[in-house]
Amino acid sequence: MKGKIKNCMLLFYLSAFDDDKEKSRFRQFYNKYSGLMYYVATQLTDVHSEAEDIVHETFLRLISNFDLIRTENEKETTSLVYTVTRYCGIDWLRKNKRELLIDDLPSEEFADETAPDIMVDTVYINDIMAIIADMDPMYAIPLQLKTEGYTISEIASFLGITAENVKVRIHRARKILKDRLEAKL
Amino acid sequence: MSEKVTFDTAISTAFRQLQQQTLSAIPDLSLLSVAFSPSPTLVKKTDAIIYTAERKQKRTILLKYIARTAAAIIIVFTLLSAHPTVATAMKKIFSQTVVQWFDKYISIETQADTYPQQITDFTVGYMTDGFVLMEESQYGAGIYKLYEHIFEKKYVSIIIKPDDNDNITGIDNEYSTITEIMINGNKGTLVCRTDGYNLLLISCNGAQYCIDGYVQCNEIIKIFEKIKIFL
Repeated sequence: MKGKIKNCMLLFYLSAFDDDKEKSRFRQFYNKYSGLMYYVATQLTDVHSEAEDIVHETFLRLISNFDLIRTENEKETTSLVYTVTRYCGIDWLRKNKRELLIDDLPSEEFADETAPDIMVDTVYINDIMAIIADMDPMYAIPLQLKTEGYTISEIASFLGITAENVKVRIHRARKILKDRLEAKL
Repeated sequence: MSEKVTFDTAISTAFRQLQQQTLSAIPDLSLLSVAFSPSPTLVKKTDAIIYTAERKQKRTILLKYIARTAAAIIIVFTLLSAHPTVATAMKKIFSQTVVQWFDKYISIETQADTYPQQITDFTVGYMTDGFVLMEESQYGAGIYKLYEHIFEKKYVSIIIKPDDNDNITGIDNEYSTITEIMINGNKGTLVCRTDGYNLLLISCNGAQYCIDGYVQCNEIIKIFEKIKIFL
């Protein structure tokens, strides 16, 4: 019975693909990473049905950007799946609990994130890690994906937000990091 | 040993190390995959999504098809009806459609083609297929009959004559139910007999129609409705 249901879901997602090659690639992706997605979702909520909804939401998000996922690199894909699932989960839970969405915040002027950087001593990496771990994932995740080499538009597609919003969040994340690091130093 | 790096490099390194820590704490992917199984509730939800999407798609296609067909019919009719010959032909085609309906409804084999019959004062347009002009009186009246197995009492006749208010029709009310009815604004009398021989008397456009035969009352009404009259 369980196998049947699992296949039902897979068939549902496969119907989104026209190309047989992509279908085959997605089948492998589903079999390999659906468990990870569910695991990440259960880290965010104890309610089984909510975790399933998060997985479902994440799958829909990933399917629409499936050509951007480099499945041949397992480490990179695992990291991406983990990050996107976590983001989708937080986003889903916030929306369903009717909390204030970051998307609703007014846009602000921001500096170019590729502007010349300040120099940091590597001994402070652990401090930066601590700040990131403490930071709101809604800011941290766009910045993380940027550091992993994804473009602004790719991040926007994965997270289901506008490119403008991605830029704002990355800018804010960097500002938070810089301010808190300076305060520590 | 410490060294100076750019702020972006430091962030990147921090994220990479954090992610490594997190992912190393996750159980093996193959184990996780086995553990995951969507509940029937989720499957039902997705089924509902598919069902709604399919319905929407079908409805959109159907509406488009209807709109296109309607537009095409209107254009064709508008263009063709401008030409008198084509208009006449189209009337015939329409009549044929009526004939097909009639044949199907009454289930009687027909014997003759469509007869656009001229009567002195008015034209009975296109009589349904199979009705044959049996008599034509000097007053311009006509008797049309549809035959099949006359000995088995399966026939319908249509008598049409000018409505001069002098027509008297005797009705045996002992075995009959008499009902006054209105069809398309014309007042008529429907006589339904117990032996199955039914009759409709009705005046319309200066003519009196008498339709009778071994057919059901509602069929008689439909026969009258399908007679096309062109004055």
